[in-house]
Amino acid sequence: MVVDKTEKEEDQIPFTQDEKSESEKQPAPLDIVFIEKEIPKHIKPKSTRLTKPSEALRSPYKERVVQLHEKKHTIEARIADWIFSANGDIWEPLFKTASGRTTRRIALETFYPNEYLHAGVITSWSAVLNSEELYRSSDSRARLFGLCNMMGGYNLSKKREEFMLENFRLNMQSILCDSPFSSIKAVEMLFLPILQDKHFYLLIFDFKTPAIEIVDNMKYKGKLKAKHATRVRMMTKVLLSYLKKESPKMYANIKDLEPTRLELPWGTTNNFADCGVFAMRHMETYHGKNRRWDCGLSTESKTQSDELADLRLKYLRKILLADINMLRDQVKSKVEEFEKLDKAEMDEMRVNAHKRIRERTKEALG
Amino acid sequence: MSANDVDKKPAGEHINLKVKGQDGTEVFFKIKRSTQLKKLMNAYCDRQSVEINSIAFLFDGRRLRAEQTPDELEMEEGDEIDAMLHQTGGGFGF
Repeated sequence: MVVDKTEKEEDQIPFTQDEKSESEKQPAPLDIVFIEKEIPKHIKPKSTRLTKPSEALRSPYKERVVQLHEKKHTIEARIADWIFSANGDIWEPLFKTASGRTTRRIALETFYPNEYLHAGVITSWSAVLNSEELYRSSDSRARLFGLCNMMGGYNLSKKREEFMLENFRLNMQSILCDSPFSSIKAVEMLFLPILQDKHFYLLIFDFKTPAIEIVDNMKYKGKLKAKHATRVRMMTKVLLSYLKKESPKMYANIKDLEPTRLELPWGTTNNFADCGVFAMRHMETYHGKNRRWDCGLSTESKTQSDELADLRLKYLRKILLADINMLRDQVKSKVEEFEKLDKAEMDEMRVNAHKRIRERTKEALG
Repeated sequence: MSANDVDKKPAGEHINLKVKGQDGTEVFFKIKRSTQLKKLMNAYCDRQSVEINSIAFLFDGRRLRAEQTPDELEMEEGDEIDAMLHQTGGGFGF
C-alpha cells in the first residue's frame, strides 16, 4: 500500500489559523434558555470488566467481516424487498441500541443501489462494529468507531473549541457504552466517519503504530481543499485536547503527527453514489498499516459496482439483524407481515420503488 | 415522552423541553410556550455545531416545523424531542 503524505501547503494551515466561520455564537434570546447538557445515567461508562468470550467464539472462528461474492441469504432478499417497498412511516425506528441510538426507516431505504447513503446508516454501523469488537481475535487491534460528525459539522472554529470538546467527550462516553471498552485507554485505533459536502470519508487515529490517516475512496492528487483540511485539523486538535486529560501517553504518541492519506487500489474517480458504502467497508476491514489490507473490492469497474450493490443488501441485513438491535424481532415480524400482502400490490410497490424512495427522501430532507 | 404526572407543574408561561441527540446526549431548554420552536432548533444546532437544515427534529413520531409552538403541539413539561442527523452523502468529495 502506498502512503501519500499530505504535505501540500493547503493541508498545513497552522492550528492557530481558522477557516472563516459564518456565524459565531450569538447571545441567547430571552424567550429560550439553555439549561444543561448531560448524558443519561444508563449510558455512563462501564465500571466493571466485561467477560471475554472464549477463543472458539471469537475471530477467526467467528466471521466478523461480510463476505463479498458469497451466495445471497434468502433473508437478505426478503429484508431488502420489505425496506425497498418504500411503504410505511419514514420516521419509524427500525434499529435501536441499549444506549438509545436509533436509526429510522428513511435512512435504511437509502441502501437502495446507487442512492446517496443516509448518515444514520453510518451511525448504526459504528454501533454494530463496536459491539463486535468483543469477538476480535487476540492479535487484532482494539478498534473503536465514532458517530458520523461527532464533533459537529459546521462552524468549527477555535472560538467554539469548548463546545466541540464537550460534544466529543459526551459522544465518546456514548460510543464506549456500545463497545467492550471501558475507557479510551483500551483503544488502539479510533475511526471517525465524516460527512462533508455530501461526501463520506474516514479520519483514523492509530495509537499502536502512531499514525493519523485519511481514508477516502475518491482518488485525488495533492492538496486538500482548505475547508476539508480545516475539518481534519480541528478534529485532530479536539481529540488531542481530550486525550491530554484522559490519557497523556496516547496524547504524546500522536501529538506531533501530520495526517497522511492512504492510496487505495480500489479507489474511484467516477463513482458519485457509493462513498458511504466504501466508508462502511473501510471501517469493517481496516486494521492498521501493520496488516496487509485488501477490502475485497475490485478496481473501479462494472464488477466493482455490482460488488457495492451486493454490499448494500448485505449491510442492510447485518444492521437490522445485529444482536445489539433491540428491534430485531420486530423487524422479522414486519418482514413476515409484508409478505402476507396481496402479490399484485407487492409487485406494484417493487416497480415504483426507486422513484418512491427518491420522493420520500427528498420530502424528508425538506 | 411526558414527565411523571405527579411532577407536572401548572401550565406556566415557560416549559422545560429535552432534545435528545443521535449520540444519546440530552440537552435541556426552557422555552416560552408561545415561542416558535425555530428558536429552540437554532439554539440546539448552534450548541452542537451543526447546520439547522442537517437535523430533523421529531416529536411524537412527526417532524417538527420551525413555525410550530409548544402551545400548538400541546407539549407538556419534560417532553422529549428527538434530533436526528438527517443528511445523505454519495461522493462529491475533495
